[in-house]
Amino acid sequence: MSALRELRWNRESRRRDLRANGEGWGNDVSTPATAYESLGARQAAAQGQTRVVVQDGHCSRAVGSRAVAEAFRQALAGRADAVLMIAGCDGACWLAPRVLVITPDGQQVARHEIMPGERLTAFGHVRPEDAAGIVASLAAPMAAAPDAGAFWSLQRRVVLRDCGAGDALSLDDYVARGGYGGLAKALAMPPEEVIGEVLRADLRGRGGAYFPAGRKWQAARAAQLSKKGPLYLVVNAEEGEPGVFKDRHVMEGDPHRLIEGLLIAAYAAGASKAYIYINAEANLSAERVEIAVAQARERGVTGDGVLGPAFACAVEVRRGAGGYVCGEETTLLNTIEGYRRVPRLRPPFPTDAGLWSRPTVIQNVETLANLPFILSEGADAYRRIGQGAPGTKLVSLSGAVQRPGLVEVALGTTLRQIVYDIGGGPKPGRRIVAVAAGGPSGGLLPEAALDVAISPGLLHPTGAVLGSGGMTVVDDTMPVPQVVHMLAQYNARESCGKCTPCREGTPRMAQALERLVEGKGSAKDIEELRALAEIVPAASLCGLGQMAAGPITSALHFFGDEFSRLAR
Amino acid sequence: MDPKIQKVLDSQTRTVTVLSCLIAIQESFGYLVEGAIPAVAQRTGASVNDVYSVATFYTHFRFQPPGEHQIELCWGPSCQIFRSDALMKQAEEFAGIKFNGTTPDKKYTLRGLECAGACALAPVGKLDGTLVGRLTPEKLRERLIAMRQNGGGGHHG
Repeated sequence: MSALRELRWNRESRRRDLRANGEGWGNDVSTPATAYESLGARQAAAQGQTRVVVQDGHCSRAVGSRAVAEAFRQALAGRADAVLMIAGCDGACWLAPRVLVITPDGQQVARHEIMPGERLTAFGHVRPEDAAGIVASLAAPMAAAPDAGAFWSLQRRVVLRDCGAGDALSLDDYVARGGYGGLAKALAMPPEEVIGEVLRADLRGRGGAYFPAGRKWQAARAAQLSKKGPLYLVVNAEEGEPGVFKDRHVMEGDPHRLIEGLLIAAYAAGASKAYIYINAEANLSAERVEIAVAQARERGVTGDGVLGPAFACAVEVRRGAGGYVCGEETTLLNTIEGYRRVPRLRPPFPTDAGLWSRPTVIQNVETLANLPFILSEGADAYRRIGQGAPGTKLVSLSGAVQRPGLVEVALGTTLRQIVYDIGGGPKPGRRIVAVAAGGPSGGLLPEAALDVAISPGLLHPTGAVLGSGGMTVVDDTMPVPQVVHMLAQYNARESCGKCTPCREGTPRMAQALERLVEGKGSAKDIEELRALAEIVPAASLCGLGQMAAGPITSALHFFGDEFSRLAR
Repeated sequence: MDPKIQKVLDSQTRTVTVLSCLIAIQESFGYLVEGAIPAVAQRTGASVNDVYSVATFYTHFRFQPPGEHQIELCWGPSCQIFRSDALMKQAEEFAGIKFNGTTPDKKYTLRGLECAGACALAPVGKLDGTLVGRLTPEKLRERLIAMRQNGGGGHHG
């Protein structure tokens, strides 16, 4: 017997044994539905108790959430009626560190409802010394949450539904919130039907390219037919693009939602192994995802059997070692294989020959985190969200607004609503000048153009894109050419050097901008910028070079006067 | 092969690649120690040249032991809009060297972060591996002085 056949035989016989003995998935493991039922048999730990939820995400830690969590742990010691729960952040970063109090009986002041019958009170800017007071008054009505304006009311939270309120460290809590229900539903359908449902929902890749997820899965399935051997799923959790911090929130706050989405995609595409690639800086994401993967494996949700013996998928977390090089997916494959992060020529596309030359489906964290909703609520429910295109988008809002944070809005929401209503507009005494949409790879939109509705692809022909949803707001404290210079410097530093026009062109653009900003520039520098802005994108293999001119082209278009003044 | 390096390379429990070996060595020693490159080449079957190209490509790796204290400041766009350049100047004055580098007495290492992913709390930095948000030059100065007074260190960020 060949080694491979032996391996397969062993796995098959192990499944038969498990089935016969009823081990691993409870007593009756004949269907995913019964396996799922037995998964939910354990009750969430906190039922009937007040939950004090400390939002402990990696950015909240930067303003002291760990000390707050520790203070609450001490204050809650010995209390039978209340428990401490660690969550990720809900996206109201300007209020961090945040603490929520969720009572089981509905007696408290409510801001919004979390679960039927439960009420929630939120605190912002919590200090460790506040813990004793908050815990002492748990039974009494609490002060209302700080004014958040339209921060919540304009959001439509699908991916982030439980981020900040759900237990980030518990599979049971996720199941109690309905988690893994979408996976159970998917496993009861043939993979082709799951693909059909996702195509009908028109779910497109949220990493920035907006390619239909279902079509990727179809292509990989077709490629695998002609090549015997494994098919891989790679989760792109690199999120190296500056100004974007969405995937981190999902991984830190609701890691099981990512794993559920991953398993749905793996089942539909026919992947037997999944790699979650997490960047070198995102330690807390990696920590929480590792915990969730271990829990899922232990409870029969991943590994040799996914809610039963019919489908197997192993999940492994891989770490990177720095460097941006765009969201370019072929560079990611080189990193997982352990080599330099340079792009590959396409074709072949990863769905034909990706990781270790095997058919490979690559999806972003946010894309996958939409799947539990699509499967459990159905494609029609998903299609009812959004205008122009279905679904929501996570937007990382930072820069010169009053309420920076991570928000989830229906597609079709305008940038003006995001910046002014959700973000609260400019800081007192300031004026918003532009929004850098899509970071160093996007473009600048002037204030007057903010009425554009967000949709996949270009927000303006000059280069502003929705991309992965990074929005950095620029006010009148810094001149636009200086902002563009800074973005160009970023691209120059991050160019990997594989394509000469990008390696040589991005520093040249940054130098021309530097001369202009320092008042040593001339009209020739602007000419050079225009020329390079055509050459570099045309002659580069990956997104970094292809998009590097975006901020320059758009800024010259909208803020040309400011550059001309500098060129004199 | 240096037995200490060998032990680190053998302790990997997952898919072993050139990159995973280099990460394991840096996590264990704080930097890529002498002998690391040929050891990784030997372990993975890649050429020394290939391993070296990987080690010099990723910004994460260093070939010198880091200073006792790590001062990292974010130079992403959101942080720059909130004048991270003023923070960098403050740190440079404090340590007496420019970004990126290590002081001759190996006390402080200054490093720019590409983006710490905490843009809503900009400007941010990492001091001895701990992320600090909503920084001002004054707040940074306080933290740096506290860092100097507390001494210790030894954290490999």
